[in-house]
Amino acid sequence: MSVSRRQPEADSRLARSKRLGERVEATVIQRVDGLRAAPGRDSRHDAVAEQCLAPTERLPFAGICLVEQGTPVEIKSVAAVQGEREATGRFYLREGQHGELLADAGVYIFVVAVPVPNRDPLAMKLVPASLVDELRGSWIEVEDRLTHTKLAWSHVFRDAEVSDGVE
Amino acid sequence: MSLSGNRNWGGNAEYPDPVAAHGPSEVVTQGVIGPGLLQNWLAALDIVHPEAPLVFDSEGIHASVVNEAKTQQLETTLFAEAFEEFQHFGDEPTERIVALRPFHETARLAEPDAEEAVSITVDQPGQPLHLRAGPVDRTVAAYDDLGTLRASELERDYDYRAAIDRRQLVAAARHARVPFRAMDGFGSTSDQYHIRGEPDGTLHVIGDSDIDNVDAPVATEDAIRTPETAVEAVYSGELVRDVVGSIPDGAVVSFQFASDTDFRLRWTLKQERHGEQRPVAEAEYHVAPILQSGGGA
Repeated sequence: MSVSRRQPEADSRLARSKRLGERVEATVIQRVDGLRAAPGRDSRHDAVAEQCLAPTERLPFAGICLVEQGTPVEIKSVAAVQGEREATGRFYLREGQHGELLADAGVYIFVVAVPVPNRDPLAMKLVPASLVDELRGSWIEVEDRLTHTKLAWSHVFRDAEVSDGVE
Repeated sequence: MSLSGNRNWGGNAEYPDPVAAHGPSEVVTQGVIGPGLLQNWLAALDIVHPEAPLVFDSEGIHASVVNEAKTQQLETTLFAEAFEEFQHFGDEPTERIVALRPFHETARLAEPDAEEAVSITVDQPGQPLHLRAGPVDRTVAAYDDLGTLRASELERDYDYRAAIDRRQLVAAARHARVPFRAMDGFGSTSDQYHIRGEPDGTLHVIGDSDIDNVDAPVATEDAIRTPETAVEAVYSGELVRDVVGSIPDGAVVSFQFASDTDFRLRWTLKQERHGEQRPVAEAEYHVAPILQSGGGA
């Protein structure tokens, strides 16, 4: 039986991060036409393309022209900066989920957000999982955590794309 | 049966009237076209997908396709004006999903010196299409389902939009390949083109292999919309060369994009018909951008 080594402070940070993620996920599903929340909490992905999706000014695509109806969509969000050192926010990718998304020819919607309720995301971009697979670093195996890797938003967005979203 | 909007068969047509040959209840569409123009149009389609759903109506033949990787899509029309003779019977369009190869092969059989044309006859659904070049007849079975996507409509304004010179664009796409060709045999190098649109309308096609760099400018013939500051996006070099290489000689080209967006390249080919320049074929490609990022700072 494994024993958690995380500190309460880290747990609290994780909970805040999870809350931000859920809020952003709901916002994206509401704002993107043709996107529908995946049915049930035990769904493998966050959302599904209810109709064929095409890039828009608000949601540009990279590495793909259009998204087929029925495509699974995983929404990953991050704050523009994290921690006291204000490091570039990093998307948290889980190996198992990423593998399923790859197998299903799914896509990610990456979102850079501000950790304030009811605010529009600073920037969004849709990227196929196959392209993310080329960008990601090695999977990290840590006791008591799912195998994961982190992807800085600067791999997906240019600075200007994020700063243009700051009013 | 309505013939409105159709070109009628000439009294001295080289090929037999399809209605007389098949009976009016069987033939849906019939056209006769020069092999060169047909091959130009097929080449534009072929770089996206080897099969296509062809929609026949009184305007001509339309196709809308997406490549397997969904990185490129195309909407294109071969207008009735492209044909020496063209008839579509009825008001409703009809679709046939076909492989393009038999069309290429038949077009190649036509003898340009003998001014042979290619005849395309579409019968009722379930019947094969008939192709003819000179004395050679060929039937082409239609598929029930393509199993891939048709292009989706993109309604979007881009910061950069200009009419550009085809020859300069072709040359720029070729020159920008040089840095990557120099790296052949030295391991994998991403074959990517940076395309930049300047506020003065100039378009730059840039091949940058980190070791070598080629910046090939393309002057615009008409800058319709220009950005306040330069816009730039990165695309697959192979896709850019495929698209640019498929533009027929003499076509008018417009190019649209913005920072980190897909690009939209549209060409229109006009030829003289009845004393005036009329569009005979047009195509619009959308090509997805590649990620351009600052890395994991």
